[in-house]
Amino acid sequence: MSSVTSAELVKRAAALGPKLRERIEQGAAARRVPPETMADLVASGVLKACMPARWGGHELPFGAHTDVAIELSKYCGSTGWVAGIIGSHNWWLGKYHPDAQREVWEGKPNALVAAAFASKPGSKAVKSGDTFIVNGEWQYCSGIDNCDWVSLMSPVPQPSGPPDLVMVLLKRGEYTIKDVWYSPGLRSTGSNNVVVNDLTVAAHRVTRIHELNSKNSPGQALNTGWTFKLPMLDVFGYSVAGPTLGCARATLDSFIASMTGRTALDMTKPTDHPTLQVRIAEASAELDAATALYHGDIAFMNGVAQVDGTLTPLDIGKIKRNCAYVATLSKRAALRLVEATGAGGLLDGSPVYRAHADTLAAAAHRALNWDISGANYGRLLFGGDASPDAELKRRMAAAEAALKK
Amino acid sequence: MTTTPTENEFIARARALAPSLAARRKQALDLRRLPDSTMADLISAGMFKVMQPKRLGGHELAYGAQVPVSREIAMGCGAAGWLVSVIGTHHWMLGKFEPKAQQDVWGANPDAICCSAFGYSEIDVKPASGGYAVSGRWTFSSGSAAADWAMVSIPTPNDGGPMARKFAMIPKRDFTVLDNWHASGLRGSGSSDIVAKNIFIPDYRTIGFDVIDRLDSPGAKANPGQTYNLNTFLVFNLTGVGPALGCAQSAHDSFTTGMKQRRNVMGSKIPELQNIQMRTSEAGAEIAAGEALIDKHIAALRAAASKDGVLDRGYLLQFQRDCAYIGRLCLNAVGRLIDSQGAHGLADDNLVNLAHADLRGVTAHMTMGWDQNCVPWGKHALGIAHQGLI
Repeated sequence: MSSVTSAELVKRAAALGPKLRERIEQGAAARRVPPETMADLVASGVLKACMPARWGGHELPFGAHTDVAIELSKYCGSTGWVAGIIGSHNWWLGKYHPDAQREVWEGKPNALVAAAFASKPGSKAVKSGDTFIVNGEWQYCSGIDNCDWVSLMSPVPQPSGPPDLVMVLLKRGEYTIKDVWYSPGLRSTGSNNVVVNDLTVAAHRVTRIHELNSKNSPGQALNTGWTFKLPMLDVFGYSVAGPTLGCARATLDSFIASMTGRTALDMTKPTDHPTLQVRIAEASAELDAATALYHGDIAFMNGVAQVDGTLTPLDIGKIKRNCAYVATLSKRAALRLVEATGAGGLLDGSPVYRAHADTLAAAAHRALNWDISGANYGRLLFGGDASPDAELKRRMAAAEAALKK
Repeated sequence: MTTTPTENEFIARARALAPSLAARRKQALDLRRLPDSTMADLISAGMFKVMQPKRLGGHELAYGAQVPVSREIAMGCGAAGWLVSVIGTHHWMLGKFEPKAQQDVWGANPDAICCSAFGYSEIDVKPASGGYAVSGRWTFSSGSAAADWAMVSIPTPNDGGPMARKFAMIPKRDFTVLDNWHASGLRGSGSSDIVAKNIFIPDYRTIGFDVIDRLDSPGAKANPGQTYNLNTFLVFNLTGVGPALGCAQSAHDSFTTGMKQRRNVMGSKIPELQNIQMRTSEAGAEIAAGEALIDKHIAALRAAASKDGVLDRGYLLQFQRDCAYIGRLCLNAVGRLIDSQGAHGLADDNLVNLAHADLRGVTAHMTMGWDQNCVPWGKHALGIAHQGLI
């Protein structure tokens, strides 16, 4: 275990705050995290919060990377987002095939890995002897321009039935980046697309989702610490729920700052209006509730991992529900505040607007979708399919049935 | 003899214009104001003249016509819909000014456009012989770059309260547009600040807030039709409603069109999720409720205007509440749709996203903000005194 504490990393993140604020416009204009910022993040060691100690990481409990991301998001939502995402990759890469870990980290402890879970229809990895042939276009690879590697979730077509799902690890140069990220929120995350053309990939760079999302992944032969027992996808939601919460906090902080000392056209002080007072009270209650959920679940998951690492289907359903609910509360708080900014909140430089747009963009992540995770947990409570991958399995079965017709 | 086109005719014209406005939306966003070609199309279709006095080349349709017309325009471009309603409403207000002021604006050019700015960040007003010497900087003047005149507000010397202010007309040569509108919502509306330095405004080009609010305003006597037979304050809160409904409807339409094609990574059809169906349905109901609510109010305003024009205070406060509530319904509807678009909904050129941004712009207006516009009726209903503009 590292001698560095999670609190120390949060302190280092806070120390970067003023620089992040200074570079906000620069990042927004380039639509990606400024290279100077990436260099600062690397130098501060905050991205290595949950990285395996064997490769030079701090191997802190799960969530240390999101504590950092939340802190960074208070100053720049896009930076917090990218740091949270990359920080999580530095954790789950520890569950990958040992040879893949060696290739990325041996002698290069500062290597950065991006990832994409969404792809355009037809994107796939086709098994060919001992290798895979990869083709397609993957979407929303946050921080891709700053990274040395990318990991892509890809279907592998099977002789019959639905495809298997794998993560394919690719090195810079093996893919091209398509500069398509134009978005009002998380604008500086460079969440661009990646195009892969007829690329042959060695088997050790391909790990099955099924194995990664379990407490016994291939990488744990190297990384025997308890943090790697947590299933990759089942707990992933907090890696994006954390930054979402951070962006919502930034909305509240900047809202209070922007209203303080103001005088309205009718010569009254907006801060004297109970309507406004109630808005910040409700937003802060929403965010405190979300923060409590976040801390509670992180502590729970780490507790389970230290015992035997088995999360029940209901545990997983609840974690996913809570991640989506943290995002829902964050979004409500941000919207409640931006609604009350008047025309001043429309201006491009408005910190309230920016932080709110970042919150909404962060909450748009598939892992934070309330419709999916809310309904899934409801189904579990009603005694429905109790599989941890209930939704995926249900659809795979539907696809299989359709093929048989 | 020419006949005046009906409200339905204007709605049809607006509907026909919407696709070409949508095609120039990107250009409007880049310019941060409407392209000249869009302004020219709107002017030649008479979009700004629906409630301009007939005497001066306008169509003088019944008050409320700006709602369905601007709604149709906003279906194509939110900023264009906003300008049609805002400028159209100010042309209606100008119909209540002294006839000589109206003559100055429209006598030589019945197509003249009047922007407005009621809020100011700097102001200096001194009495001068036959009028006022004024310097000032007014904020958020939508459409100012294309305007021939601006309607601004000024405090009068010896200012005694909110109603001791005046509206004043100033010609283009007397003001400068600062081009400082860099905004996320209604980006294409060119709502920049305008500045005037040491200009003279003759008295007849000004009108007191209390005077323009009266049913016997100087202009109402000159333009005796029912159009001007209404109070001004709170009645003009209607301004944001048409653009809000148009933005929401266009978000709804592009959401359903786009969603029909969506598949997830495993190839399943996303629109088959019941949650998506519920969201679509609830958004549709919210928009339909907003439309029904405003139709009811427009009918009530017109019924009053065709008789003695009198609207009681309770009704006006309810009207104020409901205009803002329609903004809220529209925001709820579009927010509900945006939520289920996932990362697709983040793209700068996503139509639901664009409509949402414009809707946020519309609902940021002082007449549409929920907090300030819901409280007065609540106070009234509870028997608590309220100090406001009426």
